[in-house]
Amino acid sequence: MALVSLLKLSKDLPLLAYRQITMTVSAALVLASIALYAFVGLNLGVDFQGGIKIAARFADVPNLTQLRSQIDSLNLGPVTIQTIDAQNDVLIILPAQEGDENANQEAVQTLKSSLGDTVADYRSTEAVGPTVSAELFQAGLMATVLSLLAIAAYVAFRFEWRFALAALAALTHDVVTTIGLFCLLQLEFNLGTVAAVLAIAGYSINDTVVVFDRVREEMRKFKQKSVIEILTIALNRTLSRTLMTSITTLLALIALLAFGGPVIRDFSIALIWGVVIGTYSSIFLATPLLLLFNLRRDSLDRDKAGDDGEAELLKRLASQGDKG
Amino acid sequence: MVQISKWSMGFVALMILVGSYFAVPNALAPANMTGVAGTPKNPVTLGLDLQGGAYLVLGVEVTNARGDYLDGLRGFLARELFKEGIRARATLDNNVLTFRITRPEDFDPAARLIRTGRAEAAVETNKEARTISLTLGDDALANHVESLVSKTVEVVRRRVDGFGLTEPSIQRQGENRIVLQLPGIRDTESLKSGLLKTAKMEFRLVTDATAAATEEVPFDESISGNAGQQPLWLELDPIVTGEHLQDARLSYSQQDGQPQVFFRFDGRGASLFAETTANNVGRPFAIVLDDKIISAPTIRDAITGGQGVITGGFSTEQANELAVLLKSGALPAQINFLEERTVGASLGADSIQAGITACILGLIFVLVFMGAYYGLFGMFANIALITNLVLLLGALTAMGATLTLPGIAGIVLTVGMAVDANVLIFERIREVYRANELSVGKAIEKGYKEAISTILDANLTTLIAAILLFVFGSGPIRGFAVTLSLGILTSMFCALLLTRMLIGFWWSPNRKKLPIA
Repeated sequence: MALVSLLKLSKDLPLLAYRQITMTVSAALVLASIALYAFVGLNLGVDFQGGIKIAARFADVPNLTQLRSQIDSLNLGPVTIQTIDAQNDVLIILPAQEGDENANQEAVQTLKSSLGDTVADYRSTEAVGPTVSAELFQAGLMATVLSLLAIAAYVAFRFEWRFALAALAALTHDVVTTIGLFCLLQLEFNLGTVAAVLAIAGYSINDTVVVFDRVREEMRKFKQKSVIEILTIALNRTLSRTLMTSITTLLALIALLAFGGPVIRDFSIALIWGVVIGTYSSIFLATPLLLLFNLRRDSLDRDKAGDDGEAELLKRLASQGDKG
Repeated sequence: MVQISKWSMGFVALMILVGSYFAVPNALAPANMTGVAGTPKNPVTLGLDLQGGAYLVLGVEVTNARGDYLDGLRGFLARELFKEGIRARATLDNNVLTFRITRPEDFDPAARLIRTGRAEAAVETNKEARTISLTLGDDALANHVESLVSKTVEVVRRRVDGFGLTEPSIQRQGENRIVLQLPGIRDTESLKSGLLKTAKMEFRLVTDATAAATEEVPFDESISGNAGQQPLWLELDPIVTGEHLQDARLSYSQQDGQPQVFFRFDGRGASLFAETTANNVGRPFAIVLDDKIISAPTIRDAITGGQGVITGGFSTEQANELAVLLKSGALPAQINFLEERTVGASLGADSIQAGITACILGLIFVLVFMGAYYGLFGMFANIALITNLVLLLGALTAMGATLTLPGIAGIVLTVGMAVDANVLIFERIREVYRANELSVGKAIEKGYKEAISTILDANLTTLIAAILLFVFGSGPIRGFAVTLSLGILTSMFCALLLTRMLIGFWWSPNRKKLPIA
């Protein structure tokens, strides 16, 4: 017997009844994230800030206090030392070195020769200079912004501008709150995190588009119902799918978090958060925003016919021409 | 029709066969790989973060290229003028190189000399002020930088090759970057220090300090040797430079067995060296590397064979490194390490292990859940999910894509998301079945038909995000984008065709109950 036939999900949940509350919660989350970013800040990894990050496996369990004073005496700036998993695996993080581009390399050599034989194996070494870190930051920012705009453009093309705007707002909400979470937990924000943020955007839009698709379909079907009724029906009809996909994705991601190793732990946390917030925002933010943007039953029809919109556009262009 | 057409079935079978064909080597231990007849030999390429290795980004220093070029020109022209007996004072200010000729009668010959063969630099003369100015225009600068960088790439390539790594990759990137990918490298530090050395080699005559050094034209300079050695005055004009070295290798002295570097000049170098040594028997000359004297032997006879040895109390490693540096030539410009990412083999192996574990457990979680929730149809979706993974791995292998750790994360994410298309379809079938009291067959048909546009819309938007991630992402992130995009495509294929085919096999007109209703 399949579970699906045992669980009878009600098909008439008043999912939009509390939309003022959910939208306020979302706005508060976004504001809190911005505040966290402004006052606490991101824990930028070496990718974006420059600097040195070395994972060293020591031959014996190292005395961390001693290790710290040993590295301090090298004058390479404030050092961060963390143990990872095994007791003799230590993460050593140094800030970007002052001086020319090769200063980081010299610092790595100084550090490695000072540690000498106490380290059995250098598990990984990352050293990023100021030029590259600035470029990576720019590229990451550009990738995020362009992805969001491209997704919005696709939604505008397939649906209508209100849908695109609502989707864009929900995506921005997901991205901003993910950054807020990273500020709050002080997880390392690096290239992998940007990839995770974009994957979140991809996942969230997937959810949102499924709901919007249904909204469009129901709008064509029920010409008599009010918009809010139609939206509620669309949400209810896609709810079991939304939950199912979120659950399977979360199951896979929990495996990644638990067994994927320390290198992608923060990446997994970002994705898990993203699935939760993406699912939430599709239902409780993107859809109510359609109401806020004054979606009408005939919005899609009129857009298809295009007469009003085009006339409007031509009028505007003409008036601009007059001004010019 | 519940069942897909014969053509579609053939297509499904073909895709699965081709996918499995390429995916198979990944499942076999390397030792067995060649044993299975007819299978491709190569598994998917592993990224440096999984197999261990170094990723280095080098920047060729070109910010001062204009000034450096003019500075080099100053030395060259000063010597040319000096040889002609022309006295001049050279200044380099704000990237303008100006010669002020001391005697008015020298001006015209000096201008002629400077003009000949200096086509890259623009020359302006002012007869009244007796000045000749040289500047380097933007086009000329761009040409100069271009040749500087491509020469540097060649030198770096030869040095890395001298290191004896398997399959190093050296690629130029953008205007002045070089990206090195060095799988399996153990000693990154010594490679890096070897790359940083300029290795400018010169053979120069030792001169008497008081004899030269005029005020106006720098002629000789004092160069110090290794610690504890007296600095020597050397002629600025080298006898021969490292450019004329044809070969350099480690050898051992026949007298005392000490490591030394054997070298051989090319034809031009040999004749230059022979000529100068013949004219200067009894004088010492210095072998200079990067403005440091390595040794300063005295010329006993003309050296006509065009070959010799450099001794200097080297260890075997030092002599070997020197030989590699000399053979690969001098760096024409300074290089900087802009970025380094090195992953040790042990961490790489751990990451592979962790990635596979996460993948398999994630898969099991999803399989169990889908099976429990959707029953028989869940099993169909599970078969599609496993096939999806095989196809994804096959596609990655066939395309020669590189699998990175974020790439494995992308596969795990795909495992979770791949069932989405099936979930959409099942929920739709269930809905139309309940609402419209359709027959099982009709409900399946209608469910598929209505779900398709949603599936396409939803997946295309995700694909857009993944493609942009690939375009703007760097390094291992691209691996994530690749597996995510391919995963979207293969999962759509599996849900729309494979699951449909399986449901078609199950369905017959006397099926009265839908297992997911």
